[in-house]
Amino acid sequence: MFVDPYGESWAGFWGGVGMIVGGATLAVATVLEDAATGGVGIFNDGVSFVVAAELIEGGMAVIVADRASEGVVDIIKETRRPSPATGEPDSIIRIPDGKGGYTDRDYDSDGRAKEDRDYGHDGAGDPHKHKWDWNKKPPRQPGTPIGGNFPSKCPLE
Amino acid sequence: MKYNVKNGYYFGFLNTSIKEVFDKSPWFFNNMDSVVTCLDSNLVQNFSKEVVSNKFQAIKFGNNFLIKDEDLSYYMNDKSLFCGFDEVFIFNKKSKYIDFKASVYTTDGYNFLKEIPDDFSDLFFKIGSTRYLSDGCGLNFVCESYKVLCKFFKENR
Repeated sequence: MFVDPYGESWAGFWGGVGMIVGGATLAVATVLEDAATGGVGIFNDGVSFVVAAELIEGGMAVIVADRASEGVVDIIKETRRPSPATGEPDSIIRIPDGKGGYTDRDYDSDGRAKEDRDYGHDGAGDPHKHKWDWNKKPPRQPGTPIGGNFPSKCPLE
Repeated sequence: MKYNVKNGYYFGFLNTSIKEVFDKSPWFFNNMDSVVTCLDSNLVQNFSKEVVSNKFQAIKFGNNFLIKDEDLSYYMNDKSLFCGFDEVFIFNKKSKYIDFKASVYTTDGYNFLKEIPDDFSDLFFKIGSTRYLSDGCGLNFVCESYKVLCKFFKENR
C-alpha cells in the first residue's frame, strides 16, 4: 500500500508558488497569509529574507537558495516538515533541527539529496557532513568531518 | 489513517520526528526502555570508544544505548542528540532486553507504509520490542495495539 505522505503539503506548495512577491509590504502580508493558511510564498528581497529568517528561528521554515540566480537569493519558506530527500535540482535547502542547529542540504541536478552539512550538533565534529549515496539503502551515509576550506558557516549568512 | 499490520503489530509513517513525538506524546515512552541503535545516520555499534566514554558511558549497553524512561527527557533535550536520522526500539520494562546488532531503517531509505522489510520485522519480533521509531525524512513507527495507534495518530498526524 502506498500513500504519499506529502500529498496535502504539495497541494499547498503549488498553490503557494503562484504567490510571487516583489515588494516588502506584499512579502510581509504573504507571510502572514501563509502563516494562517499553511501555504508557501516565494520572496526575493531583503525584507522578506528577514521575515523568513524569523520563521526559521521558530522552527517552521525552510530556505531554498537558487544557485542559478546571481545576486538575488530566492527564498521559499514552507511549513512542511521534516526534511525532504528530494527538492529543486541544483539547490540548497536549510532545515532547522528545532534545537538551534540546522542542516544545509545540497540537491544534485536530478533533485536528489547529495550532501548534508550539519551545524550545531556533534557526531563527526561540528560542523560535519553526510554524503548521500543513492546506490545504498538508506542513502544518507554516516557523518564525516568537513575538511578543506569549507566555511564554518553557510555562505548565505 | 493509513497503516499496515503484521503479526498483530501496527506499522506506519507520519510526517514528524522522534523528538516531536516525545514532545507531543510523552506517554509513548512511559514505563518503557528506549534502546537507541542509530544517531544521525551513525550506527551506535560503530561509535568509537572515545566518543562513548566521553558522553555516553552511562547509557552504553552492549551494542546500543539503553535509556530508561526517567532519563529520556535529558537526552531528548540535549541539543546534540535526536536531531534527525535516529532509530529507537522501545521495550516494555517487563520484558528482558537482549543485546542485538541493528541495521538502519531511517526514513531516507524506508517508508513503512510502502514496505516493511522482512529483515526489520524479523529483528523486531525476535528481540521482543514493543514499539519502534525512526526518522530523518518523516517518521516510521511500530506499535502494539490499535488503541495506541489511534492515540498516536491523533496527536502526531
